[in-house]
Amino acid sequence: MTATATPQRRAPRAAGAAFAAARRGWRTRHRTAGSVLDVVGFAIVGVVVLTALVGPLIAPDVYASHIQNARLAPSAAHLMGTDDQGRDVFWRIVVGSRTTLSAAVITVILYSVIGVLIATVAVLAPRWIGDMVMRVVDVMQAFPSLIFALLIAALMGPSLQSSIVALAATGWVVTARLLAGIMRETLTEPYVEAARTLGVSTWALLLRHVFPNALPTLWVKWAGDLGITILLIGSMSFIGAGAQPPSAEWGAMVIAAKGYVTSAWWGALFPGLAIACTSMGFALVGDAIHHRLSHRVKGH
Amino acid sequence: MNEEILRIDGLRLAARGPDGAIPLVHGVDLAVRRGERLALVGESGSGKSITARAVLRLDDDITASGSIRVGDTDVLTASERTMRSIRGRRVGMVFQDPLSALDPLVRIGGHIEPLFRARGMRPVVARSETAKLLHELGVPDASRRAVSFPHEFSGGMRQRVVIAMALAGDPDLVIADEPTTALDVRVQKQVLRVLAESTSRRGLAVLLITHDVGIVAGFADRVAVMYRGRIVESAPTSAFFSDARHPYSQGLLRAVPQLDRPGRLLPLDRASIPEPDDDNSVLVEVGQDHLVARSALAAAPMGAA
Amino acid sequence: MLEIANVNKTFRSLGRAKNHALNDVSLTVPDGAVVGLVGESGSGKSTLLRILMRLEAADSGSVLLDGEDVLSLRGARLKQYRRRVQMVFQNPMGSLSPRRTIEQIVAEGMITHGLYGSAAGRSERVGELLELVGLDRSAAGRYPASFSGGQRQRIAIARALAVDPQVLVCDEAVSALDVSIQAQILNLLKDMHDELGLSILFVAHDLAVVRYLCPYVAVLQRGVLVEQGRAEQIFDAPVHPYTRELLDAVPVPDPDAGWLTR
Repeated sequence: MTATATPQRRAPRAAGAAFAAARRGWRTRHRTAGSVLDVVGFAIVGVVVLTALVGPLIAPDVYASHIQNARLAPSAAHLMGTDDQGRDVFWRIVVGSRTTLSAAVITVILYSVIGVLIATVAVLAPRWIGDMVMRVVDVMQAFPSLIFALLIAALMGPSLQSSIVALAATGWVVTARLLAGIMRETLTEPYVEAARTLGVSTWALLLRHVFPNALPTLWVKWAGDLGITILLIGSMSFIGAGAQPPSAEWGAMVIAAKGYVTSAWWGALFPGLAIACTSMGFALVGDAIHHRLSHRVKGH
Repeated sequence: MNEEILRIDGLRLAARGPDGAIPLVHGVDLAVRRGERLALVGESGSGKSITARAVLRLDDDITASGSIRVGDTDVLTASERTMRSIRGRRVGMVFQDPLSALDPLVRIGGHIEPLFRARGMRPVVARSETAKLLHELGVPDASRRAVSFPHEFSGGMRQRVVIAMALAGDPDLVIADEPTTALDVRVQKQVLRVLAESTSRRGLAVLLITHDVGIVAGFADRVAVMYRGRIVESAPTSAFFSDARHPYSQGLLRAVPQLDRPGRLLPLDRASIPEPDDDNSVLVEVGQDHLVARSALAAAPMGAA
Repeated sequence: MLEIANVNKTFRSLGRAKNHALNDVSLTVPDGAVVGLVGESGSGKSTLLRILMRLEAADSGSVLLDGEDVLSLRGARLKQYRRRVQMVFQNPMGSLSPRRTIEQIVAEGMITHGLYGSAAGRSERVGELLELVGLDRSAAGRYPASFSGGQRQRIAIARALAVDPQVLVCDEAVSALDVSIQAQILNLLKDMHDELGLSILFVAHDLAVVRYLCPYVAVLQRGVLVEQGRAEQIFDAPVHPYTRELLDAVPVPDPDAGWLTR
C-alpha cells in the first residue's frame, strides 16, 4: 500500500469550525429551541431534587389511612385528590420523590462502580482474560435485562432494595462495554502513546489521560441513566417486584391505584405523570450536557 | 485572444457559523484560459480550497457574492440543475484524498462508465472507452483491472482513477485540489505527469490548488498566490520564480528547502508582510501579465535572497 | 551512541500476506550526530521508530544505547531508558492531550522521573523550556486547542526536552506543517542540536528537508536499508537506483529545469 497516512493538513481554523457547526444539526440550527429545552430539563430536575430533599420534611403523614376521605377528586384541600386509603396523592408524590430518586441514584452508582471495575479489568488484563470478560458482557447484553432483574427480585423477595440490587446487577453491562470501548480507543491515541514514551506508568496513564477522557461521555450517560432508572424502578414496583404498598414510591402508587383507575383516575395518573416528567427531565439534562461538552471539546 | 474558460470576479466567500458569518475570501479575481494551467498557491487558511470548490458550488454552508463564470454561465446564480450539468461535464474535479473520492463498494469501472454513458454512449462503448482512458493514464492491464475495487489499488493508481473520472465527462476545465498531497513523493511525480499529459493532450485548462510551491514550477503556466483570503500576486511561472514581488511570495520561496540550495532557510517573517485589506490588495500590473497587490509596492525593494 | 543492529519485524495477520516491515536493518546514530532516515510509506520507518521507543517489539536484532541492550529492558530500567530517548510525533493535533494544560503536558515527564523537586521548580523549568522553543511563558496555562500546528510542535519539542534526553527522535515532525512554519521548526531543531548537543534521528519522506537538517542520511526501502552515508555522498552521487528515483522525484522550484518531464 503506497498511500501515506495523510499528514493532516491543518484545517483552516475558521472554515473548520464553521463547517463543524453546520453539520452539528438540529440543535445548532435551532439554538433557541435547544436552549428552551435545556431550561425545561434543568427546571424539572431542579424541582424534583428540591422536592426530594425538602418535601418529606414538610409533608404531613402520608402513610396513615383515612378511609373516610377515600377517592376524593382533586380540590383545593387535596390538590391531586386522594387514593383509596384516603391519603393525599399530592403529598404522597412529594414524599415518594425521595424514595424514587434515591433508589435510582443508588442503583446508578452501584452499577457504574461495577461497570468501571469490569471495564478496567477487561482492558488492562492480558488479552485472553479481557476477551473472556467481554464475551461475558456480550452474553449478558443479549439477555433481556428486565426479566433477569425480575428473577433476582423474585429470589430475594420483592422490595425496593431487591429491585435496586436487581437493576444494578443488570445495569453494569452497558457501562462496562461503553467504558471498555472508550478506554481502548483512548489508549491508542497519539498523546497517550506520547505519555507512555515519557515513561508514565499504566495506572498514571489511566488516571491522567484515559478516565478524564471518558468523563464527558459518562456524565451524559449518567444523566440519561437516572431518567431511565427512575422508569425502571417504577416499572419494577408496578409489576410487584419492587417497592410494596404502603410505600410512596411512584411506581407502587400507580399499581395500587390500578384497581380504581376508571373511577378515580387521579390516583394513577399523577404518579404516572411524575415518573414520565422526571424521566424526561433527566433525559433533557443529559442532552444539554452532551451539547455543551461536545462544543468545548471541539476547541471553540 | 484565447477564450476564458473560468473567470472569477470580486469573489467573496463567508462560512455560516453558529455566531454569524465568518468571512474567508475577500474579493478574489482570477481567470483561466483554454488550455492554460494555473496554479493557485497558498498555505492553510488562505482560502484557496474553498475558492476552488465554489466554482462547482460544492459547499452548502458557504455564502458567496461576486461572480464566477464557467464559459458563459454564472455559477453563483445558476440553478441546481445547471450546476449538475457543469459538475463532471464541463468542469471535472480531482480531489485530494482518492480513498474518500471513491466508493469502496463500487468497482473501478463502475466509477467511470456512468460518466461516459451520460454522454450518450452505449454501455459496450462506455466500457471500452473506460479501459482506453485507464490505459492512457497508466493503469496496467486496464480492461482487466477495471473490475477491481478501490481498496485493491494503490494510492497512485486510485488517484489516476479519480483523474479518469474528471476527464470522462469531456470537460473544458479540470480543477485539481491538492491532488498529490496524500501521495508518496515518487508517486506524486508520476501522477502530476499523468495529469499534465492527459490534460494537454485534450487541450484542457487546469486549475491546480496546492501549498507546494515546488511542484508548481514544473507544472503550471501561471501562478497565483493567495494569502488570507486574497490574491497577493499572480504571474507567469518563470516571472514568479525569478522575480516575485510580494513579500509573502518571496517569503514562501525562501522558506522551501531545496536540494541544491545550501544556507539557512529563512522562515516567513510575518511582520514583514503587510496585513492585507481591501485597499492595499488592489492588484497592480508590474510586468507582462504580472500582477501584485498594491501593498507590495510600498514595501522596500527586497535584495537578492 | 545509538546502535541499531539487524532488526527484523514481520507483521502477520489472519488472511493477509505476511508483511516484512523491517529486514535486517542496521543503523548507527553517533553521539551528537544528526541522522536522517528517508523512506516512503511502507518503508518501515515508523515501525523502526516504534521499536526504538519500545512501543512495539522487534522479532530479532538489537538496539544498544551506549552499549546497553534496550530491547530487553523492563521495569525501572525501561523507565530510565525512556528518559534518554524522546520522540516528537508527526501529528501536532493528536500528540498533545486535549484536556490538560501546556504546563501539565510539558511537566508530565519531569513528574514521572522525579526531576526538579518541587512544583515551583518544575513550573520554572516549564517556563524556561517554553521560551527555549520560542513560545511565551504564558502559554503554560492554556490548552492545546488554542495553538496552531507549528506552536504545538514546539510544545511537543519542549515536552521531549523536559527530561533532558540524549537522543531526540523525530517522526515526520514537520510533515504536517505549512512550509513557512516548517522552516521555523527545522531551524529550531538545528538550534537545539547546536546548543544542547543532542543526537537526532530525523525520519522524513521529504528529501530536501532531510538534506537541510542532516549531515548523515540513510535510505529505507520496504524494510531494507539500501544506502547510507554522508549527505553529500547520498545526494550528489547516489549509488542505489531507489535513491536516485527518490532524488529525481523531488520537485525543483525552477521552471526551466523541466522537472516533470525528466
